Amino acid sequence: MTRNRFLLGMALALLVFQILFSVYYSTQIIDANLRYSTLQKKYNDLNVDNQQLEVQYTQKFSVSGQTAF
Amino acid sequence: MDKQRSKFLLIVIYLCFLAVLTRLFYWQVIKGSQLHEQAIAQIYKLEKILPRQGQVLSSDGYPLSLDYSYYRLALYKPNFQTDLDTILQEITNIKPEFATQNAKLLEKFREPNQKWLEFLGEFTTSEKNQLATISGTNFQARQKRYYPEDTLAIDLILGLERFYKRQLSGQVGFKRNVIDATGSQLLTKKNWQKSEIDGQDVPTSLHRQVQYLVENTLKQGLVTYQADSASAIILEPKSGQILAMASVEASPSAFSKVKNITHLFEPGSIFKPLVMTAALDSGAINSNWICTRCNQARVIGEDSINNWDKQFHPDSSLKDVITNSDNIGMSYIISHLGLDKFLDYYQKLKLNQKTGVELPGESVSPLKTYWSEIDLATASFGQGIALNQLQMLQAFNSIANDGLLVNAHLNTSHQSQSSRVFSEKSTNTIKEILAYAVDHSPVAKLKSKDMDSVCAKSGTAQVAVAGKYGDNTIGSYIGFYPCINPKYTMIVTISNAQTSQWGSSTAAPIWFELASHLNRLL
Repeated sequence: MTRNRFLLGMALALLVFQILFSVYYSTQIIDANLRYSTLQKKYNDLNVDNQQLEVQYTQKFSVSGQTAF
Repeated sequence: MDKQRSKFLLIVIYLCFLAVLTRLFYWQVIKGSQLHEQAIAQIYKLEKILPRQGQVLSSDGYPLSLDYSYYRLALYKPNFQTDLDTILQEITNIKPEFATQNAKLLEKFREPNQKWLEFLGEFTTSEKNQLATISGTNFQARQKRYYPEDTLAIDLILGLERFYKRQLSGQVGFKRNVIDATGSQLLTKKNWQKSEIDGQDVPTSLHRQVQYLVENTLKQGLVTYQADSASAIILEPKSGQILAMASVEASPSAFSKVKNITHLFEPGSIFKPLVMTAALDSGAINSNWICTRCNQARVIGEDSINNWDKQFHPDSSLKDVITNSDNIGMSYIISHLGLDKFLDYYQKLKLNQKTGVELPGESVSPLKTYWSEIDLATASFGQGIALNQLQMLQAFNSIANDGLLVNAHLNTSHQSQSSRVFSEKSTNTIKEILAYAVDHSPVAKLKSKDMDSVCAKSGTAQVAVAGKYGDNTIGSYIGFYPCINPKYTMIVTISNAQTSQWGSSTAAPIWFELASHLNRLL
């Protein structure tokens, strides 16, 4: 009888552990995904900004005096 | 009755079961593979990763061509939470020209069946971020090539981009990602990526200030001398690096062409110094040679060789032959040299082959197989042979470079290749002759006061059309400055000038005008 209770307890504990484990790590994965896509967007934006700054720089030091395009 | 009912019900259930089974067979077996592919396509997203294209750099490391990214706006009606006019107002607040720029597209977008449309206009990152909060807006990154110096050396840059297409383009990368229902990327082991390889830059020897000066001076020359076209190239003598190369036309064609290498011309009298140096170098004549038969026209068979001004210069020395641009004297010099040696020097000067400059479309004329006596005689003053401008300058530069021929090139990462054509002694002699000729000819007055000795020669060649010489001429001026340790070698040609046909009156003033500014820039 005690053995059965012990086994039942273990099974329930494992079930709870599994649920908590999956909730915790799925939250972590979703967070990481969100962070990743935000950073990727930021990276793309910075890339575009960098190219636009490069263009402004070249306009500033252009010999032919081109200021707009 | 009940039994019959239950039997009927059973049959209906069986039939339903069979129908479900048939449908499942259809979806899972017959359509199975197609649906599998569709499911994969929904889960995975394949994207191209565009590499950063390389830049064409000028001699000071300034990018002459580079990539430029911007955002383009698209609107999707079903996602709108407010009406179109409110959205347009918000866009116009940030980009005032948007409505006028897209008047026609907006009219089209207002039609009921038009749900999605991409609009004109370039948005910066901050503009995009401000507008991205409005429902129904969508921004796509776009890329284009930008040329900061506008039309300056544009034909050269486009030519370099075509020549180095593979090096500049790099390699496109790919990524295959697992995506969720919203299309966002998921981080899983199933994601796969082949990284892009960025393009490499092409460093060139093009000097922006010099190029700007050359283009502007040629344009002015075109107007002053009412010519059809004008071209010029400037080389750094020791390395063979091209500092500037330009060609301007009175009526420019739509096609991008570098006329300096695509068009062939008869060099005319600017070829004389090369023939004279070859004759000196081979020992066919010495520096004390005197033309004893220059007192009359030279008759070869049915043809006679005369001077440009129909004047004769008896007992001309080498200096006199070049100063007077004496065709008769040159025809005797090449006779001393002989055909075999002339052709040997012609090949050593690489006049029968492409210069190998890093631009597409270089033209070259094959060497004649049959040479008569008159052919050889006319070749001495640059007639009957066709060269491109760069070939001529590369060969002439060997005199500036103490007899060493270096290959003309634009890419500074290329090693200069050199080969000896003339001895230093013979080039020193010809330098003295050229300097004397400049100082004792009408062009001497074009020299600015602060200039030392200039080694140069003018030329005028008639343009042959359908095998006959017509009225059109090409005037040219070629030379280097200073004569000792020159800083640059330069050629200027001007085609079909209306004010004067002579190179000394059209190309030479442009040459000296450029030279007066170059001394400050180089």
